[in-house]
Amino acid sequence: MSRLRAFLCRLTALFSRRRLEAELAEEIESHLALSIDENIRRGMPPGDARREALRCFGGVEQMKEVYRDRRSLSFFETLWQDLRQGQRNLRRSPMVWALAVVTLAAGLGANATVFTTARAILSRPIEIFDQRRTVVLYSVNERQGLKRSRTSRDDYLAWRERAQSFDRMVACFSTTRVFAGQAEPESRSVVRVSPDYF
Amino acid sequence: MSRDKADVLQGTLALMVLKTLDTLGPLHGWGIARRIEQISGEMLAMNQGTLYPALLRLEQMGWIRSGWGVSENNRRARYYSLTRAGKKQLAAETGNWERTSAIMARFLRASGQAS
Repeated sequence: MSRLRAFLCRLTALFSRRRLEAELAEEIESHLALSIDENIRRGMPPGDARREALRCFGGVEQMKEVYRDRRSLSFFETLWQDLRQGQRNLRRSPMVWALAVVTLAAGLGANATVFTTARAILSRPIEIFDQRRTVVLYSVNERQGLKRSRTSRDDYLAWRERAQSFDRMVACFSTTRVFAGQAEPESRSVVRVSPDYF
Repeated sequence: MSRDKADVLQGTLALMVLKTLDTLGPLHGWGIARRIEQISGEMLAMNQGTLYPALLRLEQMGWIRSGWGVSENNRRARYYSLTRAGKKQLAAETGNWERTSAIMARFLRASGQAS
């Protein structure tokens, strides 16, 4: 609750900088005046009284810096000042402004071109088979009534050796595998293929 | 200056300010600084200026409030006073501090006996 309050205080302080700065200066003056009065009352000559008051107070400028940091959100304060400074500079030299815009535009354009090209070239799907000329062969298991059954390794080797109508023949076997690592284990379907697949 | 003078820790300073305002009522920064110096028997090495960021923080937290007034010798000054939330905070902090110092005191005595 207090923290939220403090944050809101600092936020509103962003908008009354000038008044708060004047109040800070006045408060320091008032502190020193009270301190000097006291020193004079204790019998110091005015010059010494002021020096002593300043010594007890410590570095005024350092204190102001710490105070300002705490008073508002210094990050936004400097950001705002930087933006205004930048805006003033741009208005003073429109040519620089135009040059900056052109440079940025060219940079963005070049980037977009390079990446579009690279993507078109690199992410094209790899075509292993010409689909119009590919067929899938299965064994038939009559006993179990399976029209698409697995083929044994020996059958595959025999087919491959004797078949004359095909450019090449590869073996595929789909199954699932469990992948376990640091994260939750996952079951994924995988296809095991013979080396001449690629 | 002297090494015997303790640096004022941020939290302790806040507690001293709250206690001062609780005891003396509304007071300006210079008055608070003098009071802390006097009570501590000039043992604290404190630039009076460091008091102000602490006051600002306490005010932002809603534990003290401030307003301009006139001192007894006719100087315009900013007066700080304790809020109700500040009184509560003072009570809580006092409890904390007493517990901590009691534990430290016991701890330091115990290690003396052990050797």
